[in-house]
Amino acid sequence: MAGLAILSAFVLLAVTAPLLFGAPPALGSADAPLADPSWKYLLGTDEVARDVLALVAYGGRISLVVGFLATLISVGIGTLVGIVAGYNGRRIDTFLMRVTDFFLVTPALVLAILVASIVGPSLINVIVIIGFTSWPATARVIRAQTLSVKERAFVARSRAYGAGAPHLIRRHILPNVWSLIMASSTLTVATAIFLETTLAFLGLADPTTTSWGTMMNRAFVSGAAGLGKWGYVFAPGVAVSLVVIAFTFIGRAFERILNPRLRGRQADTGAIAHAEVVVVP
Amino acid sequence: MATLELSRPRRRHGFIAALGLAILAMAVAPLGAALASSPSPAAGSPSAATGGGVTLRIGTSQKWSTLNPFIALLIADYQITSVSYDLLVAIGPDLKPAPGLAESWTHSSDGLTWTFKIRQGATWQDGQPVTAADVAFTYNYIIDSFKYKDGSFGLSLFRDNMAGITSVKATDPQTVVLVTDKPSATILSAPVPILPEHIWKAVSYEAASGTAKDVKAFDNASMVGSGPFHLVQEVKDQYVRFEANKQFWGGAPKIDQLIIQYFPDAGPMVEALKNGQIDMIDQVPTTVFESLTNFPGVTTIKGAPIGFYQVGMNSWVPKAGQVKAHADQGSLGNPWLTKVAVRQALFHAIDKASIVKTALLGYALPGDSLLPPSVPGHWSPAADQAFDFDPAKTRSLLEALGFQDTDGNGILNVPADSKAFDPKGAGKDFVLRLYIRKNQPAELTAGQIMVEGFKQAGVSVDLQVVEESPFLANSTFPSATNADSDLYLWGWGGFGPDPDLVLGRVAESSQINAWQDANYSNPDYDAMYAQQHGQLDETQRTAIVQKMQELFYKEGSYAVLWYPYRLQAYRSDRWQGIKTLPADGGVIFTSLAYGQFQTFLTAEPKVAAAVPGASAGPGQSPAPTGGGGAGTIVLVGLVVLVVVVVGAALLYRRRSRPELGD
Amino acid sequence: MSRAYLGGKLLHALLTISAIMVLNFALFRILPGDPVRALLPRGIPAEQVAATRAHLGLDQPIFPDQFISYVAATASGDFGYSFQYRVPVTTLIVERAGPTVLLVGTASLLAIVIGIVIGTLAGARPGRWFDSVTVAASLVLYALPVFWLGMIAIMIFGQFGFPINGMLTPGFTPPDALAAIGDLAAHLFMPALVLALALIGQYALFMRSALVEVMTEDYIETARSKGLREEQVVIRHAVPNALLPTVTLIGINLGVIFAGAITLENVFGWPGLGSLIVSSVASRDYPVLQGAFLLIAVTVVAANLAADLVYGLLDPRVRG
Repeated sequence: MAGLAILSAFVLLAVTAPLLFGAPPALGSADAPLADPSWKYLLGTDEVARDVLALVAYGGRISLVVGFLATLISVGIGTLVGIVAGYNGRRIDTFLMRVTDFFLVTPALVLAILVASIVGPSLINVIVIIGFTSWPATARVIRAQTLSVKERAFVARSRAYGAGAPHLIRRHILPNVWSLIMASSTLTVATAIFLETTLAFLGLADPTTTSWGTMMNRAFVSGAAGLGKWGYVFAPGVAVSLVVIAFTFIGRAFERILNPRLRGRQADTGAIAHAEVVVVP
Repeated sequence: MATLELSRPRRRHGFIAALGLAILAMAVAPLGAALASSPSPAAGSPSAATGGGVTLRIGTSQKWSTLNPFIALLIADYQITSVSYDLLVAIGPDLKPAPGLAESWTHSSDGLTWTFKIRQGATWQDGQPVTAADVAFTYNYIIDSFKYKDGSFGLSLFRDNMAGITSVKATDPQTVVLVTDKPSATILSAPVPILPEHIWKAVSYEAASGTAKDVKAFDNASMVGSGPFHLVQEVKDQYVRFEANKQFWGGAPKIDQLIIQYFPDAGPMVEALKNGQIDMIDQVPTTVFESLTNFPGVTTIKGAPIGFYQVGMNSWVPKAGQVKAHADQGSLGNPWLTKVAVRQALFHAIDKASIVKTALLGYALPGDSLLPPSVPGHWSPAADQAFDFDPAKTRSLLEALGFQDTDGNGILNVPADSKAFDPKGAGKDFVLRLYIRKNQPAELTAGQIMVEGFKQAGVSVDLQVVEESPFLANSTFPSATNADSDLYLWGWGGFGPDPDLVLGRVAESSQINAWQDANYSNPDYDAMYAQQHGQLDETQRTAIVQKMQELFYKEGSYAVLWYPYRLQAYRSDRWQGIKTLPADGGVIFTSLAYGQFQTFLTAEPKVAAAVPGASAGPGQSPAPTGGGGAGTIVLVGLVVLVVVVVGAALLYRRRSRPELGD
Repeated sequence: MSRAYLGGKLLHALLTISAIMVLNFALFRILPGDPVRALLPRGIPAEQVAATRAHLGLDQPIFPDQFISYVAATASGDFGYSFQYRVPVTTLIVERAGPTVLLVGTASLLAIVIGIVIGTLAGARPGRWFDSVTVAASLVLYALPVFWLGMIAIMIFGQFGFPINGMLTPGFTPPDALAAIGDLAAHLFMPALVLALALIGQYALFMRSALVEVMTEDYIETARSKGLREEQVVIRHAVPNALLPTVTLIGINLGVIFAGAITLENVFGWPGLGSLIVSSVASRDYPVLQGAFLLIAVTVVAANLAADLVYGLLDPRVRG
């Protein structure tokens, strides 16, 4: 599982950052600004003399935390909307799918910029904004699965015996959409990390925190790119890409392993086809 | 059969590949053709091939806010107006007064009456002659506007320059007589652009606010001055283009075009200089200065500091007669900043040494008073007077004023019994906003260092990145926004050789609603300002000037953070005749702006670069050197990309083969 | 295409646009208190606050009066005044939309053409090396942040003299139309190429999977059994049917393309809506942000509608 391996490495790096690098790198803490990679600073230092590797580790914390928490919100909403719509059908379904479609077509980045500029770009706000703009894909997938599970014989039988909606959802629907929720989550994490990175690069993140997006922003505006500081310029971009690839792999793996019905051709590109509807490049 | 099986796919691939290439070629052809056929105007700056003649391109990272000299605020604004307008008395290569539109001047023995001889043969860029009447018109235009005390941003910008002038008259077409009621030390150093009467008489400060003829809204898009360059095009937020005024009284410029191009980020601007897409940079980022110094063909200039950066603390206490924009409210700044004791406490939370070392990479001197060390009359605090970096002291000073961390979150709370003084904040965490300018990495770092220091002191600072113009300018401004700011990081340049300008504009009371941003008001300071203004004896004047600096350092509304070295660069492989101001040890772009156009008069392409054909084509830009830096990156990038793609392909093949084999 | 299908899609699009307008309206008013006081005190001059107040009709009840005047103003193209530039938002947005359309259009065209070619080559023989590399490369391209690619492009192409900032060479007076286009193309080269790169992967994958699907259909076998050569089968029979979903992907994907353009415009100083939006954020220029959001959202909805309609027109199966 390459995806899991890459992801584990980054999570490990983020979690053990205090052990490996001590406190978050303070401004001016390294020997020199914009140093080239050396044994002491494997990826060099940034323009305010901080160890880039340590920044990648600590920046990963922000990026991953934003990714996971926003996904929690997003998948929560998506699952709720999907199951309620799929289970109830008819008017509620129509209404909820209209809402879903609305969020699906509304350009997530522009909406996120607009909202962030009004409520302010604090970390919490960014998480909530991403959570609230990236759930429609999940809702659609979950709804489709709920619809199909609902019609299966054992569920219909259970309903005939007078089982209530909470029971049915808990005992029959949820277990059957669980794999999809997981698959959808992994893809949503990638989306969320992308969106966070983009907002940060555009300067719409708390400027005092370090995430991969703010690192790329600083590398760009400080002219580090022109100086050939490849460690500094490449590290955050490669980190984002690897994590996004990892999540995409894992999402595909989930679809294959947990949902045999999706095996085959669809699973090859299904993950990307699913994600691309909402992903911000 | 086997041969057929083998040959089929091969043929097909060939066919499809050919088709693909054809489609690709169709898509890319127009682009490619256009690229190939164009003379690639981007490269080869001084070349005449671009149609506009010899062109000098200047990159700037500050967005100009206006073309109207009467509402000009930013250095970028003055860079534009200063090449188009003349001063009555120019600034010479030694920074001393030099003949401008006035070729000579005399003053009476009591120093109250000045007579200027306006040079013959000077013309406006529209062909009309420049006369003494234009000069008198300009001065009277500004002086008359003071009667309209609406307190707005406008001609009040020139109030200090006009102090004491009672009349300005053109006695004949070449003579202007200026009378003051008391001696003035600044008559010859007033940076007042001389305007053509025939154009500006239609523009009025009496016109309805916001209309086209209102002086505060006038766009001045067809700028007519008497200077060496004539504005021909403004593309907002991108560039301004000037054509040389070959009739200029000081001699025709050797270049045909001057372009000032705005770059949102300094990184690409430096790349553009290296690639030869621009010829000069007026403010090189500290991060790249050293590497640019070693870049072949580029000459860098490090000029002594003549300006400063400060964290301003909004001290506005509204007084009767001052305009309030939002009539229902007083100042929208944090009221505690109006208290000297609070500001003094906060001064101790600012780690200037770290800022200079980390944010400026040492390309600055730590700041203290309003005048930089290189300016005569600079005052420095004695060791026991200085506000050393000591967050614990900030905390204890604030605690002495009643601030307490009542909720134990590490942030001091505003005294709960201060409801009358601070209705919004009483009892809550002490939070201050700190505005910093967008796209200024060094200032962002300085802001972060300050946030850290304030946090240690128990003060929460909300760092907000904002656009300089008009947002930051407006938010410090009482009549626009009721001075809706707390702390802000901003800088001052534009100082002439005379200290009057900075001392007046930064902190004198009458400059509230004009040049001031922190809205400081202190009668003692004002009195000393008036005193030095009328003092013609240098020694006595310096003594007052030093006292003013001391007062402002101790009780003022600025923590002067640093005095920046002026880092500039130009393509010396392509240009010669570049002059600095002052000629000895100066810089190309003075923050004063006026006076520096001398260099644009003498700048000319180096002969080798001007050879036709030598500068055509994109390949003309200098070979990528830079110690293999960028080349390495490309290589590393390609290798990384190939490794990742191949790795992913391998993984993909391993899992998908069984399913796709069918 | 049936009338019901057309009507349904149109209604859907109208509903979505209405919802976007409601959202745009509500965003200004979700905060407690006077919306102008709550949102606009920071650095906005009093007369502009007053103008905004009047524009929004804030002395009237929020619903229905304010909402009606908001809808009326929006419908007539009136979004108020920009705080930053002191001109009508509509003027500003119209001025900046051109460069964005140029960038998005060129990049989309490049991406779709290259994407379709690559997708066809890959999908015609799934599982082969070219296919594997295509899928893998698409994944990698898709995972690279587009603005970061832009930074790298500046480092690479900037050295060869490609312009890295703006849309036209300042002060360049082209001797003829071709030179003018050449100048524009030189500036467009990098941002369009980078944006296209970010999109190619998606189109290639989409085309590939659509082709793989089509290739399993019965009529392909029929065509093969008629003795057509394989390339004829692919080009004549499979590709046209696989093209459809791929082309409509542009419409569906427009929001994503705009997002890429917004970030890239800031990297390349491209004077379009993206750089306007980002500079408006730092100026708290809410009228501009609202106007730009509405314009982009409506464009995306319209593109989705167009994609649906094209699909419905060409593919009898989706008529409903």
